Order: sequence, then structure tokens, then C-alpha cells
Amino acid sequence: MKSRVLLTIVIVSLSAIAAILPQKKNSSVQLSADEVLQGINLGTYKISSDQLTEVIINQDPSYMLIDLRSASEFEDYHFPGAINIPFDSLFTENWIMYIDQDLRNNIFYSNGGSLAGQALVLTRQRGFKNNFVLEGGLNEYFDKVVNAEEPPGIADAQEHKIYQRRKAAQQYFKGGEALPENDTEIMIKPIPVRKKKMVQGGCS
Amino acid sequence: MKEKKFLIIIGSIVFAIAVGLVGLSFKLKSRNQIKLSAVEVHQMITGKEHYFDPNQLSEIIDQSDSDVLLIDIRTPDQFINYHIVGAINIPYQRILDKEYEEILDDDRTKILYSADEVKSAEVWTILRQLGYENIFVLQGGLNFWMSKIEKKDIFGPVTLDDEKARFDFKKEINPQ
Repeated sequence: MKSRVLLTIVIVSLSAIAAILPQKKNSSVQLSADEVLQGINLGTYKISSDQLTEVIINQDPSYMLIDLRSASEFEDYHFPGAINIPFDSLFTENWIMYIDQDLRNNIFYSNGGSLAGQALVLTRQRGFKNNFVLEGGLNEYFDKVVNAEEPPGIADAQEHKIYQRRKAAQQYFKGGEALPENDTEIMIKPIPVRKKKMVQGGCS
Repeated sequence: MKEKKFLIIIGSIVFAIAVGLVGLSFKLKSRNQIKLSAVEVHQMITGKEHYFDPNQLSEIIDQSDSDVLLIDIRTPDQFINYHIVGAINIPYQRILDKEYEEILDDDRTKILYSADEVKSAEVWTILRQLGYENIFVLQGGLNFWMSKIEKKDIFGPVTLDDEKARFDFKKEINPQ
């Protein structure tokens, strides 16, 4: 009789343990608040303007740009290749397969940084991996890259290198339009810059 | 007889482990557990329920019996360098630590701010999912506050609405 009671206790205990364990093995599990905060702190969810520039220059097919603004703002202007998921309809059935998938990395963006940042926190918490956010949004991107200003000659080589990448990305936005205007300037100015870059490359 | 004793010992060890694990999981869950789903908080953001208007704050702050709790989530160095009068400093990295639970549970209106509004909006989203109520984000952040309310010179662009386009993007791309 006693051994039967013991057996019951053992079985009940083991099933209690079993009931707890499977939760941790589930891969599509939602993130805890601490995990999301940790991600924000480490900057793992952010894509900087210059990182996006590399994606655009390399035409990296593993990235998908997602414009979270309204349909009218999207129509007026959007990044080349972006799709439009207005923030309001982020969690609707139409779009869930775009934001909950393993095929590519999504980059959320809006005009500023807060709306896309909040969309990112929510989707990450929900357990949707592969989502990232453009830091500072369109405003910062146009500030830094599309309207990039040439650094002064005394600036270090790294700054000139970054400027060249930004300038290279502009062709994807401005097409051939911007080049003829500053044609002569471009012919003359980059020469010392290029020399610096060659030296840099040789050393490293 | 010996076998029975052995069984009793094994049985009680397994039972103790089970009870311990169940207890631990309850303890872990009770603190920092997600209470509102991403979809629920998404609704609040769509309705812009998270913003606190800085002009309204400046009116409240001038009254001596103001009942707001201003939380500066920047670094201690930045806080010491400058902060809104009456604010307390909780660097956002540590805001979920046990020692700040009491502050977040405070019944008063709690307003988070960072340099711009981005970081505080992100942190607000997490805190709201944890179920903390009566908590807001200072719209435009400290940048707007310093420039427009305290009339100080600051670097960089100042807008109340972070999501307002600062450029006519189409024209920037195609100037004709």
C-alpha cells in the first residue's frame, strides 16, 4: 500500500517537472521584458544610417525595408524597394506573414525614430525575430546620407571614407541628376581624398 | 524493509525538487511578467495615448502641489550635468531592477524622458506591457523642453513631434 502511495507521489512530481520544462524548449516563444530591454541596451535591434547605406549599395537581397508611415506618405516618397505596412495595421492578418518569418531581415522605418522603435519593441516581444529598426528614421537618413556634406580636408581618412560611401549611395536616390551640377568640383576635389584612402588601405 | 526506506528517500527528493521548481517558476513569473499583449499596447500607441505634452507639464510643474513623478532615464552623468527640476534618475538599463519597482507602482502620474523621445518611447512600451499604469512619455524629450520651454540653445534639430517629416523627401531627391 505504502509503495503505491510513493509511486503516485513520484509520478505526480515528475509530471509537475515535465509541465514546467516544455515552455523553455519552445522556439517561437515570446520574449520577457528583461530580454527586450537587454536588446535595446545592446543596440542589437538598430540599423544605423550608414549600415543601411551598405545594404543599399550592395543591393543586399536578404533585407526588406518596411515603411510604417501612412499610405499617402509612402506614395509621396519611400526608400527604393520598400513595402508599406502602415503602423495601424501592423498586427493585422494581411501583414503578419511579413513580420513573422525566417527568410530575411526586415528594417522598419518611419519619419522619426520613435514609431518604428515602438513597432520593433512590440514585434520582438511578440517573438517575431529578424526585425530591425532604422535609427533616426528617414529624417536622420536624409540629414546624414542623402544630403551628406563633404568633410573638410583636414578630417581623418575614416570620415572621408564614410562620406564616399554616402555619396555612392546617393545615385540610388538622386539618379544622375546631382552629378552634372558639381561636375567640375568632383573632378578636382576627390584627388587628395583618394590618395589618403590608398595609403590607409595599404597599411591595413 | 530496506527497499521501502530507499523508495521513501527517492520519492521525497523528487517531490522536493518538483515543489522547488514550481515555486521558482511562480516567483520568476510574478515579477516582470508581461501582462498586456503586444497587440493591446499597439492600440494605445496608435491612439497616441503615451504622449505627455511638455507645455502642459510646464504649467503643472509651476504649481507647488504638482503631483507628477518625472523620471530621467539617461545616464547618471547626463543627469548630473542637466535635468528638469524635480526629476529623479533611473538609467533605462536598470529600470526593471527590483529597487525601482516601488517607484513604477506609484499612483502618481509618471513621466519618462530621454534626450529625444525615442528611447523613452521604447522603454514606455515595455513598461506598459508589464502593466504599469499612469505612465507617459515627455513628447519631444529633453531637447524640446530645453529649447522651447526653458529657452536654452541646444545643438541639433528640435521638434515636438519626432515623427514629423523634416524634409520634403520627394523634392530633396528630385529638385526640379
